[in-house]
Amino acid sequence: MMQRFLQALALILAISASPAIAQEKGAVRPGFSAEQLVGQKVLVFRPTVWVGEQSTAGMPEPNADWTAQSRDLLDAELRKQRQGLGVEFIDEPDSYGDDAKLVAQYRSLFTTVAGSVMVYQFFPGNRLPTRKNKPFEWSMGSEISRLGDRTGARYGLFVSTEDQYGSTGRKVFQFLAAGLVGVGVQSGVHTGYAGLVDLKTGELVWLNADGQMGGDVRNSEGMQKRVAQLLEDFPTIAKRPVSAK
Amino acid sequence: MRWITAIATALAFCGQANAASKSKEFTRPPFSGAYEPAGVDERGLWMLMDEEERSVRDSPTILNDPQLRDYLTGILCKTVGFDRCNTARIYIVKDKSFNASMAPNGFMRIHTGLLARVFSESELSAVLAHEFAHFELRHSLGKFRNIRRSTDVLAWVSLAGAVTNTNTSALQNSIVLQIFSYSRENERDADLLAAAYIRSSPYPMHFAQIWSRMSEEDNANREERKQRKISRFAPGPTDSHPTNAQRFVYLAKLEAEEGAQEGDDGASEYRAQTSRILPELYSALVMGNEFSGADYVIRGRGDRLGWDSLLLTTRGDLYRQRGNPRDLVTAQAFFQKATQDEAAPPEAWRGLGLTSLRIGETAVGKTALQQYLTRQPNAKDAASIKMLLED
Repeated sequence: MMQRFLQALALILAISASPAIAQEKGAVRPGFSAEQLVGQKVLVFRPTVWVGEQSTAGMPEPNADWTAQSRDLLDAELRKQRQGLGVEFIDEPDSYGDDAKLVAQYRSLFTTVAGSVMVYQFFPGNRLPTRKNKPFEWSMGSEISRLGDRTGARYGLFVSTEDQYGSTGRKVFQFLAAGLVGVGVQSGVHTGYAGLVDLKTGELVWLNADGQMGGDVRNSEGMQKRVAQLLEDFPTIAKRPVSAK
Repeated sequence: MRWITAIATALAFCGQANAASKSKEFTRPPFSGAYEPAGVDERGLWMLMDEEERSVRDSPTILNDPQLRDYLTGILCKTVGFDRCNTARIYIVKDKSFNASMAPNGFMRIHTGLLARVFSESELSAVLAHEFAHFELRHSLGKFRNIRRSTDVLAWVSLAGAVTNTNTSALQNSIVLQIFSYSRENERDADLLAAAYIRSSPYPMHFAQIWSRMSEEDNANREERKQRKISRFAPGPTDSHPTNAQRFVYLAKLEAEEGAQEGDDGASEYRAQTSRILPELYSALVMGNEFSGADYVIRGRGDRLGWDSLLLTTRGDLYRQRGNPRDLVTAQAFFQKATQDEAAPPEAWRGLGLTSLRIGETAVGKTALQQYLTRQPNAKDAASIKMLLED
């Protein structure tokens, strides 16, 4: 616990000016097309949701009510979207024992792989020598088919959002810092990503990530906008419902 | 400059408020069974830890051993009382470091490295009581608020300094260092409440010796690496805990009080319960890169709880891993002693065989490896061992 606080503190002490970096946001695996998705079952893993405030100094402050509310809204919005996408969504079933361990490990693996894609592929200035000029080809390994076999799903969808709303103190600080000394201070953090994995081959077929997302995830209109952004470029041939974009 | 004065006044006020609340005696909140967090901050922290527990619960880093977990829960219950202990859910984490933690929501983690380094129920009860005290005193919440408050002040101070072109680095440093001293005070308070729990439990208080052993283990590693030994009494400005020496002194004082040593320390039961999974407790230490520290810990258990074939095999493996010619001779002796016990783990014969072959005692080595395969026909390394036996 302490260590995490200290890490947060170190971050704050660095008093980061806004790290707005031009970045690619999404990619589809070469050779993958929307036709392959039609009529398929998509396993929706329990989304990662974090909603809270940002203190004056920039420390994240988790808010349980906002998070719970946002989680419900996200579930409802994803349900609404499924028809438009032309696929069948199935929720991650409750599991225990070895099954639960398997799910937990693939969830961690996805977080790591998606993180690598965002750091080493989407940000061109940061590409590893082994990833330079390479197409979007990432895999979690074909062992993941065990999840597909168990659930009958062909694809797996992971969704993650994190929202820190600038507190009043943070906003005042931002205003004064800009007005008095001309230093840009970022107020609020709104990031999210969504990814689709082929549960037969383990290949990551689509990933969409955004470090500056819109939509207030604490109400349904905002969540509609957020989900539309998360699913932007989702490979589909079906017509999507009109979003509040 | 007016900014600075205002902030200094505010800080002084905070200091006074802290001092005032500290002088109050802590009274245990009445125990109601299912505490629900109150307020945005506390509910937020609980939510974070609930999510963390979800992910840790099914993680492969957890040692899934219900018997051991129930045993540890039993020790916690005896220590803090049967009404309170049910708030804790214990997870045994495969981690060689000496640590345990209890989150605000009751999510308790106990590292195998802790179980390897304590030698009785009474010693373990002291560490569990300390973690439970953090929980009961809601230290996570206090620390969270302290850090938020301090960093908020820090932000304003730095802005004020920039606006007025004043050097505020000294003030900024003192604000940051306050966070660490706050943490040290929390640790000390948890130690003292833990001592109170132990006094009202059936266990004798064996808390101080843990910290002197931690110093000695650290020194063993430092000596091996030709580093200067450290024995500090006063903590450094960025220490999160009081120093081992400090904790030893104030805990030893409490232990010397009348009646503090009454009761059974549960060492024999602890030995029986942990021997069952001894390799699990020590393997990370043995495979690690701190030979002297690991040897100090293994010797500590041997001296306190007796040398059985399991522990001898563990120590043999430690020496065999380092693998200097002299280590192989030492390791061989440990394995030899271990194999005198018919109930020794098959790995004792494996170790004896491998060290003997390397030393050049081929006949002894092959006989021992044969024994290993007979005792453990499905061993993971059976194929490679058979290769060694071929020529």
